[in-house]
Amino acid sequence: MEHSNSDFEIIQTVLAGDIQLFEDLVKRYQGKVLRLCYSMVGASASEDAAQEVFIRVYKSLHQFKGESSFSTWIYRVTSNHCLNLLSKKKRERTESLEALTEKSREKMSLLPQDQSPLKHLENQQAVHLILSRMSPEERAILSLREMEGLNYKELSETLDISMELVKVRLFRARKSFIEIAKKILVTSPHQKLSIS
Amino acid sequence: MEHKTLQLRLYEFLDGELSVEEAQVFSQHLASCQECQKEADAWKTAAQTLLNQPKLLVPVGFSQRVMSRIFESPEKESASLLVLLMDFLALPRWEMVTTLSVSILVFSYFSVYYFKQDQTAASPIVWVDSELEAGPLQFLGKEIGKEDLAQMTIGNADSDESDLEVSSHE
Repeated sequence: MEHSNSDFEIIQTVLAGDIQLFEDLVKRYQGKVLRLCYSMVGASASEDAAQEVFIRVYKSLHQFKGESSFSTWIYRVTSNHCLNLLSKKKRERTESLEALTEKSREKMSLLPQDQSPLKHLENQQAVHLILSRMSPEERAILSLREMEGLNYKELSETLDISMELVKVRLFRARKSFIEIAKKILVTSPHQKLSIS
Repeated sequence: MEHKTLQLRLYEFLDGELSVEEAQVFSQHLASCQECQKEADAWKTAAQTLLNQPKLLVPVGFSQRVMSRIFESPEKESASLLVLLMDFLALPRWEMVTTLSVSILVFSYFSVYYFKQDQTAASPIVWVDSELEAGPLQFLGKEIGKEDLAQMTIGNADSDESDLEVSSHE
């Protein structure tokens, strides 16, 4: 994506004192940050989390050396912040899972029964229900890979883990996603479905 | 290669992360393995679903709210000042750390040196020597010289007079 000013140029200008220009960076990355926050901490906490991410980015802007791309760096700040939030609220849920499960099951029961259950994942709530049942680490890597399109090298830099660990964690995350999807969709009260 | 090992590489293959040679080996396996084909198809559907999630709309005024919080932040000034100071000194961080460390070491050395000098000046023996040069000292109405002092047991500053014993006068 071409930008009139590179991220690095904007950062240098902000560090030189033109703080208002930081808003350009916010506008440029707000979609990505909000999306990752949404998939990691849920809808209700996503905006606050995203705001905190940008405040953190601003405060530690002088630490950005341009060794990786700014987008990788901002993804790292976002995933670390969301993981911290989730570990603090380990017992709490950003959404009422039970309510969400019920809503999701009700919607599932209205779907045609001859379709593959994975087709039903188009139901946004079902996808987020599955994500919410995964571990935060699995959720982070799956969101970054499948929704944000990061490659293995970028995942390794973003999550600060080795390439081998990226492969292992991604493999487990996908297996976990499919397993949870099977459980949720198969236990729909009005239909018995199986993952083909 | 074993099926289980190849199955682990399925996702690397789907993600386009295998080398050309590895991808060729895997596609040969995939063509003949129903289990891998089934898993590949299932995951492709799931991945497509994740990718096709409705685009999240950025809340109206989001960037303005972030900027307001930044301008309200008390750390704004200190962050800018720190950056200005770093720019002014124009030193790489490791040089800055080295300079600070050397400064602390030099300061500590001189602090210890002057502390020792002060302690020497406050020493009671030196004080007594300088006092004796001006004439004999009076103690309990009697004159005492250096010889008497040598036999005196001097208690600490908190001791009362009974701790002082002049053996030559007993």
